[in-house]
Amino acid sequence: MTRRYLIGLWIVVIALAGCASGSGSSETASSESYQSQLRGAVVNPPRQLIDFEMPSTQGEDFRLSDYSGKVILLYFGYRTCPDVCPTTFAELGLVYSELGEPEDLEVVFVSVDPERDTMDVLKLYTEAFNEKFIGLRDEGDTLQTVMSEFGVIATKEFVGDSPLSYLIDHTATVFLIGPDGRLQSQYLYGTDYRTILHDVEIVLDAT
Amino acid sequence: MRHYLIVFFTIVAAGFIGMSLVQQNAPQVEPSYQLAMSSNPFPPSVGPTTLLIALSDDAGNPIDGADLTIHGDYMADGAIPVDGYGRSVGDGLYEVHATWSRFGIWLVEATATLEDQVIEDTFEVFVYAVPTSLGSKQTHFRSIFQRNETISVDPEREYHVVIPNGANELIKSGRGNDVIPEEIVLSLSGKNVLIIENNDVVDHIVGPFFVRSGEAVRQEYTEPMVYVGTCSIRYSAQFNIVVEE
Repeated sequence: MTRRYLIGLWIVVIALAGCASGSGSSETASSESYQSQLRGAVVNPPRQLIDFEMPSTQGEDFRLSDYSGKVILLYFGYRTCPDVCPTTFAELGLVYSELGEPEDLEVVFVSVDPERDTMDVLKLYTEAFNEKFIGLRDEGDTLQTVMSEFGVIATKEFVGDSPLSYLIDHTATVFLIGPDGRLQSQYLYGTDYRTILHDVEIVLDAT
Repeated sequence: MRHYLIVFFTIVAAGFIGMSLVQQNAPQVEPSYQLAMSSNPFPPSVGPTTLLIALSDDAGNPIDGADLTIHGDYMADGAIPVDGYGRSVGDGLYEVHATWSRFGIWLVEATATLEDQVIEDTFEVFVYAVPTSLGSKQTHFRSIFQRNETISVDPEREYHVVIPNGANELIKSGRGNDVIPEEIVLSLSGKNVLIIENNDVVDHIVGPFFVRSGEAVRQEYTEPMVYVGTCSIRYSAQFNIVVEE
Protein backbone atom coordinates (compact mmCIF):
# COMPACT_ATOMS: atom_id res chain seq x y z
CA MET A 1 0.00 0.00 0.00
CA THR A 2 2.77 2.38 1.03
CA ARG A 3 4.84 1.51 -2.06
CA ARG A 4 1.93 2.09 -4.47
CA TYR A 5 1.16 5.28 -2.66
CA LEU A 6 4.74 6.45 -3.16
CA ILE A 7 4.81 5.59 -6.84
CA GLY A 8 1.53 7.40 -7.43
CA LEU A 9 2.76 10.52 -5.69
CA TRP A 10 6.03 10.55 -7.65
CA ILE A 11 4.09 10.30 -10.88
CA VAL A 12 2.05 13.34 -9.83
CA VAL A 13 5.18 15.28 -8.86
CA ILE A 14 6.92 14.51 -12.13
CA ALA A 15 3.83 15.45 -14.12
CA LEU A 16 3.53 18.76 -12.27
CA ALA A 17 7.22 19.45 -12.78
CA GLY A 18 6.76 18.97 -16.45
CA CYS A 19 3.86 21.45 -16.55
CA ALA A 20 5.62 24.06 -14.42
CA SER A 21 8.80 24.08 -16.43
CA GLY A 22 6.85 25.24 -19.48
CA SER A 23 7.63 24.35 -23.02
CA GLY A 24 10.99 25.35 -24.40
CA SER A 25 11.10 27.06 -27.71
CA SER A 26 12.52 25.00 -30.49
CA GLU A 27 14.33 27.05 -33.04
CA THR A 28 14.22 25.82 -36.56
CA ALA A 29 16.56 27.36 -39.06
CA SER A 30 14.88 28.91 -42.07
CA SER A 31 16.48 29.58 -45.45
CA GLU A 32 16.30 33.30 -44.69
CA SER A 33 18.36 32.85 -41.52
CA TYR A 34 21.60 32.92 -43.53
CA GLN A 35 20.58 35.64 -45.98
CA SER A 36 22.17 38.35 -43.86
CA GLN A 37 25.52 36.61 -44.31
CA LEU A 38 25.41 36.46 -48.10
CA ARG A 39 27.52 38.93 -50.05
CA GLY A 40 25.73 38.78 -53.38
CA ALA A 41 22.65 40.74 -54.34
CA VAL A 42 20.28 39.10 -51.89
CA VAL A 43 16.66 38.70 -52.90
CA ASN A 44 14.06 39.15 -50.21
CA PRO A 45 11.86 37.31 -49.84
CA PRO A 46 13.66 34.51 -51.68
CA ARG A 47 11.89 34.28 -55.00
CA GLN A 48 9.70 31.25 -55.45
CA LEU A 49 10.44 29.96 -58.95
CA ILE A 50 8.23 28.03 -61.30
CA ASP A 51 9.09 24.35 -61.52
CA PHE A 52 10.49 24.61 -65.02
CA GLU A 53 11.57 21.67 -67.14
CA MET A 54 14.01 21.76 -70.05
CA PRO A 55 15.98 19.19 -72.07
CA SER A 56 19.50 18.83 -70.72
CA THR A 57 22.91 17.60 -71.78
CA GLN A 58 22.58 14.87 -69.17
CA GLY A 59 20.15 12.98 -71.39
CA GLU A 60 17.12 13.31 -69.13
CA ASP A 61 15.13 16.51 -68.88
CA PHE A 62 16.15 18.89 -66.13
CA ARG A 63 13.28 19.67 -63.77
CA LEU A 64 13.94 22.16 -60.97
CA SER A 65 12.04 20.21 -58.34
CA ASP A 66 14.18 17.14 -59.03
CA TYR A 67 17.08 19.08 -57.51
CA SER A 68 15.33 19.93 -54.29
CA GLY A 69 17.87 19.83 -51.48
CA LYS A 70 20.69 20.95 -53.75
CA VAL A 71 22.22 24.36 -54.39
CA ILE A 72 22.16 25.49 -58.01
CA LEU A 73 24.31 28.13 -59.69
CA LEU A 74 22.39 29.08 -62.82
CA TYR A 75 23.74 31.10 -65.70
CA PHE A 76 22.32 32.18 -69.06
CA GLY A 77 24.62 32.48 -72.06
CA TYR A 78 25.57 30.97 -75.39
CA ARG A 79 28.40 28.90 -76.77
CA THR A 80 29.88 31.43 -79.20
CA CYS A 81 29.87 34.21 -76.62
CA PRO A 82 33.35 35.73 -77.08
CA ASP A 83 34.27 36.74 -73.56
CA VAL A 84 31.58 37.09 -70.90
CA CYS A 85 30.37 33.49 -70.88
CA PRO A 86 33.72 31.70 -70.92
CA THR A 87 35.12 33.91 -68.17
CA THR A 88 32.02 33.42 -66.06
CA PHE A 89 32.09 29.69 -66.66
CA ALA A 90 35.74 29.57 -65.71
CA GLU A 91 34.98 31.33 -62.44
CA LEU A 92 32.12 28.95 -61.70
CA GLY A 93 34.58 26.16 -62.35
CA LEU A 94 36.87 27.63 -59.72
CA VAL A 95 34.00 27.83 -57.24
CA TYR A 96 33.09 24.22 -57.93
CA SER A 97 36.61 22.86 -57.67
CA GLU A 98 37.62 24.86 -54.59
CA LEU A 99 34.56 23.54 -52.79
CA GLY A 100 35.67 20.03 -53.65
CA GLU A 101 33.00 19.40 -56.30
CA PRO A 102 30.27 18.80 -53.72
CA GLU A 103 27.40 16.56 -54.70
CA ASP A 104 24.93 19.09 -53.34
CA LEU A 105 26.03 21.76 -55.80
CA GLU A 106 24.99 21.90 -59.45
CA VAL A 107 26.21 24.36 -62.09
CA VAL A 108 23.60 24.84 -64.79
CA PHE A 109 24.00 26.73 -68.06
CA VAL A 110 20.95 27.78 -70.05
CA SER A 111 21.55 28.57 -73.71
CA VAL A 112 19.91 31.73 -74.99
CA ASP A 113 20.91 30.77 -78.54
CA PRO A 114 19.06 27.53 -79.27
CA GLU A 115 19.37 28.24 -82.99
CA ARG A 116 23.11 27.59 -83.02
CA ASP A 117 23.58 25.74 -79.74
CA THR A 118 22.40 22.25 -80.59
CA MET A 119 22.36 19.76 -77.75
CA ASP A 120 25.55 18.08 -78.99
CA VAL A 121 27.62 21.24 -79.17
CA LEU A 122 26.15 22.44 -75.89
CA LYS A 123 27.22 19.24 -74.20
CA LEU A 124 30.75 19.62 -75.55
CA TYR A 125 30.87 23.23 -74.38
CA THR A 126 29.60 22.75 -70.84
CA GLU A 127 31.55 19.59 -70.16
CA ALA A 128 34.75 21.24 -71.38
CA PHE A 129 34.61 23.33 -68.21
CA ASN A 130 33.55 20.42 -66.01
CA GLU A 131 31.96 17.14 -67.01
CA LYS A 132 29.41 17.54 -64.22
CA PHE A 133 28.14 20.90 -65.46
CA ILE A 134 24.66 20.76 -66.95
CA GLY A 135 23.56 22.50 -70.14
CA LEU A 136 19.90 23.26 -70.86
CA ARG A 137 18.43 24.02 -74.22
CA ASP A 138 14.91 24.79 -75.30
CA GLU A 139 13.22 26.81 -77.98
CA GLY A 140 10.25 29.11 -77.89
CA ASP A 141 7.94 29.65 -74.94
CA THR A 142 9.72 27.59 -72.31
CA LEU A 143 12.99 29.43 -72.71
CA GLN A 144 11.24 32.80 -72.64
CA THR A 145 9.26 31.80 -69.56
CA VAL A 146 12.38 30.73 -67.70
CA MET A 147 14.22 33.88 -68.73
CA SER A 148 11.31 35.98 -67.46
CA GLU A 149 11.50 34.25 -64.10
CA PHE A 150 14.98 35.64 -63.66
CA GLY A 151 14.52 38.92 -65.49
CA VAL A 152 17.03 37.81 -68.13
CA ILE A 153 17.15 39.69 -71.41
CA ALA A 154 18.84 38.46 -74.58
CA THR A 155 18.85 40.33 -77.87
CA LYS A 156 20.57 39.52 -81.15
CA GLU A 157 23.08 41.97 -82.60
CA PHE A 158 23.82 41.15 -86.23
CA VAL A 159 27.44 41.73 -87.18
CA GLY A 160 27.53 40.46 -90.74
CA ASP A 161 25.48 39.68 -93.77
CA SER A 162 24.79 36.06 -92.86
CA PRO A 163 21.67 35.43 -90.79
CA LEU A 164 23.82 33.43 -88.40
CA SER A 165 26.42 36.17 -87.97
CA TYR A 166 25.25 37.64 -84.76
CA LEU A 167 26.23 38.14 -81.20
CA ILE A 168 23.76 38.13 -78.32
CA ASP A 169 23.66 40.84 -75.71
CA HIS A 170 22.42 39.05 -72.63
CA THR A 171 22.09 39.37 -68.90
CA ALA A 172 25.29 37.97 -67.47
CA THR A 173 24.18 37.44 -63.88
CA VAL A 174 24.82 34.22 -61.99
CA PHE A 175 21.82 33.12 -59.93
CA LEU A 176 22.05 31.14 -56.70
CA ILE A 177 19.05 28.90 -56.12
CA GLY A 178 18.77 27.46 -52.65
CA PRO A 179 17.89 23.90 -51.71
CA ASP A 180 14.28 24.98 -51.32
CA GLY A 181 14.11 25.90 -55.00
CA ARG A 182 13.95 29.64 -54.35
CA LEU A 183 16.24 32.31 -55.73
CA GLN A 184 18.41 33.46 -52.82
CA SER A 185 21.04 35.68 -54.35
CA GLN A 186 22.52 36.86 -57.63
CA TYR A 187 25.97 37.93 -58.79
CA LEU A 188 26.50 40.55 -61.44
CA TYR A 189 29.13 40.05 -64.10
CA GLY A 190 32.51 40.91 -62.68
CA THR A 191 31.77 39.67 -59.17
CA ASP A 192 34.87 38.05 -57.71
CA TYR A 193 34.42 34.28 -57.71
CA ARG A 194 35.39 34.23 -54.03
CA THR A 195 32.19 36.12 -53.26
CA ILE A 196 30.16 33.41 -54.96
CA LEU A 197 32.22 30.73 -53.24
CA HIS A 198 31.64 32.36 -49.85
CA ASP A 199 27.89 32.43 -50.35
CA VAL A 200 27.60 28.92 -51.75
CA GLU A 201 29.54 27.63 -48.77
CA ILE A 202 27.14 29.30 -46.36
CA VAL A 203 24.09 27.90 -48.11
CA LEU A 204 25.61 24.42 -48.33
CA ASP A 205 26.46 24.48 -44.63
CA ALA A 206 22.90 25.47 -43.79
CA THR A 207 21.35 22.53 -45.62
CA MET B 1 8.18 7.07 7.19
CA ARG B 2 4.68 7.96 6.16
CA HIS B 3 4.95 11.14 8.14
CA TYR B 4 8.09 12.17 6.28
CA LEU B 5 6.45 11.46 2.94
CA ILE B 6 3.50 13.68 3.78
CA VAL B 7 5.82 16.51 4.79
CA PHE B 8 7.90 16.09 1.62
CA PHE B 9 4.95 16.20 -0.77
CA THR B 10 3.40 19.08 1.13
CA ILE B 11 6.56 21.07 0.52
CA VAL B 12 6.53 20.13 -3.16
CA ALA B 13 2.89 21.11 -3.52
CA ALA B 14 3.55 24.43 -1.79
CA GLY B 15 6.34 25.07 -4.23
CA PHE B 16 4.09 24.64 -7.26
CA ILE B 17 1.40 26.82 -5.74
CA GLY B 18 4.01 29.51 -5.07
CA MET B 19 5.27 29.40 -8.65
CA SER B 20 1.74 29.76 -9.89
CA LEU B 21 1.20 32.84 -7.73
CA VAL B 22 4.43 34.40 -8.95
CA GLN B 23 3.34 33.98 -12.56
CA GLN B 24 -0.05 35.53 -11.84
CA ASN B 25 1.53 38.57 -10.17
CA ALA B 26 4.13 39.07 -12.91
CA PRO B 27 3.85 42.43 -14.72
CA GLN B 28 1.25 42.16 -17.50
CA VAL B 29 2.59 43.01 -20.95
CA GLU B 30 0.26 45.37 -22.77
CA PRO B 31 -1.11 43.69 -25.88
CA SER B 32 -0.17 45.25 -29.19
CA TYR B 33 -2.22 45.35 -32.37
CA GLN B 34 -1.73 46.00 -36.02
CA LEU B 35 -3.74 47.27 -38.92
CA ALA B 36 -3.69 46.09 -42.50
CA MET B 37 -5.45 47.77 -45.39
CA SER B 38 -6.65 46.56 -48.75
CA SER B 39 -9.47 47.58 -51.04
CA ASN B 40 -12.13 46.25 -53.33
CA PRO B 41 -11.26 46.61 -56.11
CA PHE B 42 -7.48 46.41 -55.62
CA PRO B 43 -5.76 48.53 -56.66
CA PRO B 44 -8.36 51.28 -56.57
CA SER B 45 -9.09 53.73 -59.35
CA VAL B 46 -10.75 57.14 -59.39
CA GLY B 47 -14.30 56.91 -58.09
CA PRO B 48 -15.92 54.85 -55.34
CA THR B 49 -13.99 52.09 -53.56
CA THR B 50 -14.48 49.99 -50.46
CA LEU B 51 -11.47 50.05 -48.18
CA LEU B 52 -11.00 46.86 -46.18
CA ILE B 53 -9.18 47.26 -42.89
CA ALA B 54 -8.14 44.33 -40.74
CA LEU B 55 -7.39 44.73 -37.04
CA SER B 56 -5.54 41.95 -35.28
CA ASP B 57 -3.27 41.34 -32.34
CA ASP B 58 0.32 40.18 -32.47
CA ALA B 59 -0.80 36.58 -32.55
CA GLY B 60 -2.93 37.28 -35.61
CA ASN B 61 -6.23 37.00 -33.75
CA PRO B 62 -8.91 39.25 -35.32
CA ILE B 63 -10.23 42.05 -33.12
CA ASP B 64 -13.84 43.14 -33.47
CA GLY B 65 -15.65 45.96 -31.74
CA ALA B 66 -13.28 48.83 -32.49
CA ASP B 67 -14.38 52.29 -33.58
CA LEU B 68 -12.58 52.70 -36.87
CA THR B 69 -12.10 55.81 -38.95
CA ILE B 70 -9.94 56.76 -41.92
CA HIS B 71 -8.60 60.06 -43.17
CA GLY B 72 -6.93 60.33 -46.58
CA ASP B 73 -4.87 63.23 -47.90
CA TYR B 74 -3.74 63.65 -51.49
CA MET B 75 -0.01 64.13 -52.02
CA ALA B 76 -0.50 67.53 -53.60
CA ASP B 77 -2.72 70.53 -52.96
CA GLY B 78 -6.18 70.90 -54.36
CA ALA B 79 -7.97 67.68 -53.46
CA ILE B 80 -10.66 67.35 -50.81
CA PRO B 81 -9.55 64.85 -48.15
CA VAL B 82 -11.27 61.50 -47.91
CA ASP B 83 -12.89 60.65 -44.58
CA GLY B 84 -14.90 57.62 -43.57
CA TYR B 85 -16.19 55.47 -40.72
CA GLY B 86 -15.66 51.74 -40.58
CA ARG B 87 -18.47 49.22 -40.49
CA SER B 88 -17.57 46.00 -38.75
CA VAL B 89 -18.20 42.93 -40.89
CA GLY B 90 -16.76 40.45 -38.43
CA ASP B 91 -13.53 38.51 -38.25
CA GLY B 92 -11.62 41.68 -37.45
CA LEU B 93 -12.58 43.28 -40.76
CA TYR B 94 -14.00 46.76 -41.24
CA GLU B 95 -15.37 48.28 -44.43
CA VAL B 96 -15.06 51.95 -45.28
CA HIS B 97 -16.59 53.45 -48.39
CA ALA B 98 -14.38 56.06 -50.00
CA THR B 99 -14.55 58.07 -53.18
CA TRP B 100 -11.26 59.06 -54.78
CA SER B 101 -11.32 62.33 -56.66
CA ARG B 102 -7.78 62.32 -58.04
CA PHE B 103 -5.38 59.88 -59.64
CA GLY B 104 -2.09 59.53 -57.79
CA ILE B 105 -0.71 58.94 -54.33
CA TRP B 106 -2.89 59.32 -51.25
CA LEU B 107 -1.80 58.87 -47.65
CA VAL B 108 -4.57 57.22 -45.68
CA GLU B 109 -4.46 57.17 -41.90
CA ALA B 110 -6.53 54.48 -40.22
CA THR B 111 -7.44 54.86 -36.54
CA ALA B 112 -8.94 52.04 -34.49
CA THR B 113 -10.13 52.90 -30.99
CA LEU B 114 -10.53 50.14 -28.42
CA GLU B 115 -11.50 50.53 -24.78
CA ASP B 116 -7.95 50.94 -23.58
CA GLN B 117 -5.94 51.67 -26.69
CA VAL B 118 -5.85 53.65 -29.89
CA ILE B 119 -4.14 52.00 -32.84
CA GLU B 120 -3.02 54.10 -35.78
CA ASP B 121 -1.23 53.45 -39.03
CA THR B 122 -0.79 55.32 -42.30
CA PHE B 123 -0.86 53.63 -45.67
CA GLU B 124 0.31 54.70 -49.07
CA VAL B 125 -2.56 54.25 -51.51
CA PHE B 126 -2.05 54.73 -55.22
CA VAL B 127 -5.28 55.51 -57.05
CA TYR B 128 -5.24 54.70 -60.73
CA ALA B 129 -6.91 56.92 -63.30
CA VAL B 130 -8.69 53.91 -64.76
CA PRO B 131 -8.69 50.30 -63.59
CA THR B 132 -5.28 48.92 -64.40
CA SER B 133 -5.13 46.23 -67.05
CA LEU B 134 -1.81 44.90 -65.79
CA GLY B 135 -3.31 43.10 -62.86
CA SER B 136 -1.61 43.24 -59.49
CA LYS B 137 0.94 41.13 -57.74
CA GLN B 138 0.19 42.97 -54.53
CA THR B 139 -2.89 42.52 -52.39
CA HIS B 140 -2.47 45.14 -49.65
CA PHE B 141 -1.36 48.71 -49.22
CA ARG B 142 1.92 49.32 -47.51
CA SER B 143 2.29 51.19 -44.26
CA ILE B 144 4.60 54.18 -44.62
CA PHE B 145 6.33 53.01 -41.45
CA GLN B 146 7.03 49.58 -42.80
CA ARG B 147 10.55 48.90 -43.91
CA ASN B 148 11.82 45.68 -45.30
CA GLU B 149 13.39 44.79 -41.96
CA THR B 150 14.22 41.27 -42.96
CA ILE B 151 16.70 42.48 -45.54
CA SER B 152 18.09 45.38 -43.53
CA VAL B 153 21.25 44.41 -41.70
CA ASP B 154 22.96 47.69 -40.85
CA PRO B 155 20.72 50.74 -41.52
CA GLU B 156 23.65 53.12 -41.02
CA ARG B 157 25.28 51.73 -44.15
CA GLU B 158 22.19 51.25 -46.28
CA TYR B 159 20.75 53.42 -49.03
CA HIS B 160 17.10 52.58 -49.66
CA VAL B 161 15.40 53.08 -52.99
CA VAL B 162 11.67 52.43 -52.78
CA ILE B 163 9.67 52.01 -55.94
CA PRO B 164 6.22 53.08 -54.81
CA ASN B 165 2.91 51.51 -55.56
CA GLY B 166 1.71 53.06 -58.80
CA ALA B 167 5.17 53.76 -60.19
CA ASN B 168 4.24 52.17 -63.50
CA GLU B 169 1.29 54.54 -63.87
CA LEU B 170 3.49 57.51 -63.04
CA ILE B 171 5.87 56.37 -65.76
CA LYS B 172 3.05 56.22 -68.30
CA SER B 173 2.00 59.72 -67.35
CA GLY B 174 5.54 60.97 -67.89
CA ARG B 175 6.43 61.31 -64.23
CA GLY B 176 8.83 58.39 -63.95
CA ASN B 177 11.70 60.75 -63.12
CA ASP B 178 9.90 61.62 -59.88
CA VAL B 179 10.07 58.04 -58.73
CA ILE B 180 13.76 57.34 -58.37
CA PRO B 181 16.93 59.36 -59.01
CA GLU B 182 19.03 58.86 -62.11
CA GLU B 183 22.18 58.33 -60.12
CA ILE B 184 22.95 56.96 -56.70
CA VAL B 185 26.31 57.61 -55.11
CA LEU B 186 27.51 55.23 -52.44
CA SER B 187 30.70 55.35 -50.42
CA LEU B 188 32.87 52.52 -49.10
CA SER B 189 33.55 54.68 -46.05
CA GLY B 190 29.88 55.40 -45.44
CA LYS B 191 26.77 53.96 -47.05
CA ASN B 192 27.95 51.09 -49.23
CA VAL B 193 24.81 48.98 -49.32
CA LEU B 194 22.04 49.51 -51.83
CA ILE B 195 18.55 48.20 -51.10
CA ILE B 196 15.90 48.44 -53.77
CA GLU B 197 12.32 47.71 -52.71
CA ASN B 198 9.60 47.31 -55.29
CA ASN B 199 6.17 48.12 -53.89
CA ASP B 200 4.58 48.53 -57.29
CA VAL B 201 2.09 46.04 -58.66
CA VAL B 202 4.43 45.15 -61.55
CA ASP B 203 8.04 44.04 -61.87
CA HIS B 204 10.78 46.59 -62.59
CA ILE B 205 14.35 46.74 -63.85
CA VAL B 206 16.55 49.13 -61.93
CA GLY B 207 20.04 49.18 -63.34
CA PRO B 208 21.43 45.67 -63.11
CA PHE B 209 18.63 44.43 -60.91
CA PHE B 210 15.36 42.84 -61.90
CA VAL B 211 13.13 43.38 -58.89
CA ARG B 212 9.81 41.63 -58.78
CA SER B 213 6.69 43.23 -57.38
CA GLY B 214 6.84 42.84 -53.61
CA GLU B 215 10.54 41.96 -53.62
CA ALA B 216 13.61 43.73 -52.31
CA VAL B 217 17.20 43.33 -53.44
CA ARG B 218 20.16 44.09 -51.19
CA GLN B 219 23.67 44.53 -52.61
CA GLU B 220 26.73 45.39 -50.58
CA TYR B 221 29.59 46.99 -52.52
CA THR B 222 33.17 46.39 -51.46
CA GLU B 223 35.06 48.00 -54.35
CA PRO B 224 34.84 51.34 -56.11
CA MET B 225 32.89 51.11 -59.34
CA VAL B 226 30.63 52.92 -61.74
CA TYR B 227 27.67 51.14 -63.20
CA VAL B 228 25.68 52.67 -66.04
CA GLY B 229 22.55 50.67 -66.68
CA THR B 230 19.02 50.64 -67.90
CA CYS B 231 15.91 51.41 -65.94
CA SER B 232 12.27 50.65 -66.63
CA ILE B 233 11.16 53.64 -64.56
CA ARG B 234 13.01 56.78 -65.57
CA TYR B 235 12.16 58.54 -68.81
CA SER B 236 15.82 58.48 -69.78
CA ALA B 237 15.78 54.72 -69.19
CA GLN B 238 19.07 55.14 -67.39
CA PHE B 239 20.12 54.42 -63.84
CA ASN B 240 23.67 54.82 -62.57
CA ILE B 241 25.32 53.44 -59.47
CA VAL B 242 28.55 55.09 -58.38
CA VAL B 243 30.57 53.61 -55.54
CA GLU B 244 33.33 55.87 -54.26
CA GLU B 245 36.19 55.17 -51.88
